[in-house]
Amino acid sequence: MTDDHPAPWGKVMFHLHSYIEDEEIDLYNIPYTTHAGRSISVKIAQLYISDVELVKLDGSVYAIPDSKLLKRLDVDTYVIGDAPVGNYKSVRFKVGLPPASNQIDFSNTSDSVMWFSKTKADDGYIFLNVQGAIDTSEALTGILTPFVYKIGSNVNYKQVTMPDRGYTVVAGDVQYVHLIVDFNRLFSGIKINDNANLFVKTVADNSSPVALKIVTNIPSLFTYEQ
Amino acid sequence: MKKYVAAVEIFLLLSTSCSYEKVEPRSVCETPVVVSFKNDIQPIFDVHCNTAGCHSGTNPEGNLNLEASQSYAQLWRKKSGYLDTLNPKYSVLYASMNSISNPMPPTGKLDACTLDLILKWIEQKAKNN
Repeated sequence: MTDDHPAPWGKVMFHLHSYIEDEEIDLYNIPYTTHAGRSISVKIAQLYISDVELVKLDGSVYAIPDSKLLKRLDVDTYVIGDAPVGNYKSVRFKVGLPPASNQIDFSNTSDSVMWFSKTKADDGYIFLNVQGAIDTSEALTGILTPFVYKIGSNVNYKQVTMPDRGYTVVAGDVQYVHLIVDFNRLFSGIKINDNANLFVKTVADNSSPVALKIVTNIPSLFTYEQ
Repeated sequence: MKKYVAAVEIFLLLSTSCSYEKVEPRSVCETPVVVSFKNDIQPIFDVHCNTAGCHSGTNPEGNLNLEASQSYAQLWRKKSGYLDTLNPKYSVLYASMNSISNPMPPTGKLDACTLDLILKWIEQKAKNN
């Protein structure tokens, strides 16, 4: 596909939609309502994806070198890299950045919203940064309470393995992996009517029970677009 | 003389029948010089994409409505990536239709001429013409 890799290589790209349940998030700070009637708005919803691997039919794996992206709300398509032509059955990746990349000089990046600290590189990157407001009431009054979920640190570098779905990489062509990222699922199993469960802001907070629950929820955010 | 002519004919016959030149299939698509969204692209959507339950109505598949009244604006929706005129093959629209494993429409990949038409329209900057 590229000059470096003429055929038999094809290009793999991700098409990532940001959703709150069935509604695509098109705008910041607009309330979206779930089937259960709970309103959620987001003012930021970003996450790093790295270490993308394609699983071959025989179970062996092709790791796409240097695969990394920062999913932003305002961009849905991302070039992952080149892969040998052939049939693959699945894709897997991690949410976050590998430990080696997580200790780098921040001057190499411009997205300061994904740093825990503007002064300390050893705090590493925020892997998933979702902030907004959510209706925490049982009566679903529509009154929104702010939340901040900043998930990071090396122990929270989370593997996501997608179910089998055939992919054929063709020489010189693009094969998209179409995924939905449902940020509503971050709240699964979290008692949101407890205000303490609405804020994970620091590296230290990332060892709290609510942070660990959020990390556990991360793989469930991803589903295939039908 | 007759023997000579017959020998030449046999030689020619054998020489042509026992060799071949590999000929790659050539596209015979007659795409217009300038592809029209209204006349060339939308009709493809009308036949293959915006049928009931697919890319139509208030809750279209992939949040993409390809009915005539909305399709152009939907395809150019900011951030979506459905159209990429800088890298036309990166366009989600084209790449999805051109996919072997997960083609759009799901009933099967459309013919090469239709896909050529889509790609050419994008290469021509995907105008609302």
